[in-house]
Amino acid sequence: MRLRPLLVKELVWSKRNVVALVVLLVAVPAVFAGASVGFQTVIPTDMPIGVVGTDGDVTDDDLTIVEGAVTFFSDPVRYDSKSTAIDDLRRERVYAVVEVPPNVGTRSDGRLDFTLYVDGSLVPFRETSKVITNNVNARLSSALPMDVRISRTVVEPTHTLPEYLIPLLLFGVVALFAFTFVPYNLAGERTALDRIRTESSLEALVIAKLTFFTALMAVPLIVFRLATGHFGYDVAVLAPGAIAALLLSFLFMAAVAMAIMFLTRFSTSGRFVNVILLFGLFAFGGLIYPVGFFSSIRRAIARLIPLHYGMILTRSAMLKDVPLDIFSEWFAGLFGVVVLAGIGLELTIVAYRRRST
Amino acid sequence: MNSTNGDTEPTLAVEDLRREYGPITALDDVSLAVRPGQVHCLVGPNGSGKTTLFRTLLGLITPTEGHLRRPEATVGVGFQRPVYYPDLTVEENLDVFARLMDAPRDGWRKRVVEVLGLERVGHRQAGDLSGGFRKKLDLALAVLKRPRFLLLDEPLSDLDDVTQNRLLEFLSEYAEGGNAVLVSTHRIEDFATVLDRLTILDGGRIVLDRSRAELTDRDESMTGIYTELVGPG
Repeated sequence: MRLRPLLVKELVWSKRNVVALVVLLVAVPAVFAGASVGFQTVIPTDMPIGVVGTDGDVTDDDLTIVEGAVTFFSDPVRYDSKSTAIDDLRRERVYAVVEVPPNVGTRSDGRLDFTLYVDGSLVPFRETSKVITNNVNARLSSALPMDVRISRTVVEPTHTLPEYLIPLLLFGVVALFAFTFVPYNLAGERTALDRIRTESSLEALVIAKLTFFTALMAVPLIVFRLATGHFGYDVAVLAPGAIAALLLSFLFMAAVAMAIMFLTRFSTSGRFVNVILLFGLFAFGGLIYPVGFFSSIRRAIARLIPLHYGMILTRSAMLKDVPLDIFSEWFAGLFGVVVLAGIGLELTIVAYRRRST
Repeated sequence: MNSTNGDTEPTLAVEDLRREYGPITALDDVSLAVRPGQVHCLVGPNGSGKTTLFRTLLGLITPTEGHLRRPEATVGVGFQRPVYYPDLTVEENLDVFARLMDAPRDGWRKRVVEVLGLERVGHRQAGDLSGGFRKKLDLALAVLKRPRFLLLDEPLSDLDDVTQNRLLEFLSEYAEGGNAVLVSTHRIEDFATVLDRLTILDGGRIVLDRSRAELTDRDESMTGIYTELVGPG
């Protein structure tokens, strides 16, 4: 058995594929090690909580007192109207809303009735919301000289954990397809690319692929619909808002994945970069758990990622009874980033053509 | 850079072409016109710039300087390295590209398949074919839409003698039918009997561009002319 020549061959191969190896052995470990920073806090200590007055009689002082009481375990966000606060609760911008009665700062006896609104569809938050109710009660009782009562009101239908996971798992399938199969498929096209360029165009090829694969996403949607029907889950898998959010998210991811493949000239490194993006999306995108559970750094990062909103839109459309118009800005934003990704993809195609030899 | 030819006779041409790759000049001051009714042979040693010129004519490479004039006519292309879908069968490749080219499934396609001897491998996956059959598939895709301009890069490589002769005969007939055939090769002797025009490229520059009539005035064989200009190797 002659090992040495084969080991030398591995060395030569490694030199030829040094970029792929650097990505795998340096960039990936660095990203994974760096990702640990995002997990500094997994117990919510500064999650956003809305604070809003019951009516116009509630003064700024009343709200400030309540904000001061809840600051200990949350990051209070003041609202002028209850409907705006509840809309933000539904959009996962805040994870609870404290409704403040008037005269908190001026009364010295009697009873003050607060209401804490939480979103029932946010299953991982259900137990936490009970703890928060107790915390709010304890903090306000110690801060105020009167009897304080907190009633917890659940808005939106309550779901089971399996139901909560359905939109996430479906989103995961779509993301996996976009960041693994799409680049693999495009790389397989490389052997025919010159003929495609002479008989048609790279743009036509890319549009055909995006159209076909987006249509193909109907298959996992139907599979999930059948599965949820079989298990009797209360999840609207085929809600128009969910389909729109999923397909826009898929288009965005597929366009980014393709752009990376053109940029790396269909190399193995391109596929690795796409897989890293997939991992990064799940690590930092705040897809699985409500992002308010994590550190402020990680929350800020998640809120910079368009797919974070795609996931919330999908989850909301499947699990909540909310009108889609409260998400109209997000849908417009998602559509906007799809257009931007398309422009980016076109630029990578132009660069690819220019670098052709 | 791209423009169409305003002349009545469609012409595929490059003018004052220069292509640089960093410090390397692959093509320098190259002008060439490919016209219907001719088998035009572009010959040169390895590394002379033939493939760069060929790919520039197809619009696959952007020249550093110069102009490309593309005809308002169909162009078919056979690549040096066969270009097809390896995961599809031969028939599926022909179907996919025929649709892309709007080429009808008619007697022409049957003839092309016969000339190239592809009948018995129609249902085989293209990626599993031998080098020769891959080349044949690539050539079939090149002529599938009956292009007015047929550009072939090293079309005889990997082909057996019988297919080579059949193909040469086919190319000659094809040009006689009013079509343009441009062949890029490093083996002039293969095309000596069928060529109507010879262009010799060496070191990125055209060193000879003559019609057969002009060449036959010279008391030398094609190979002799080539060797004299370029050298034996």
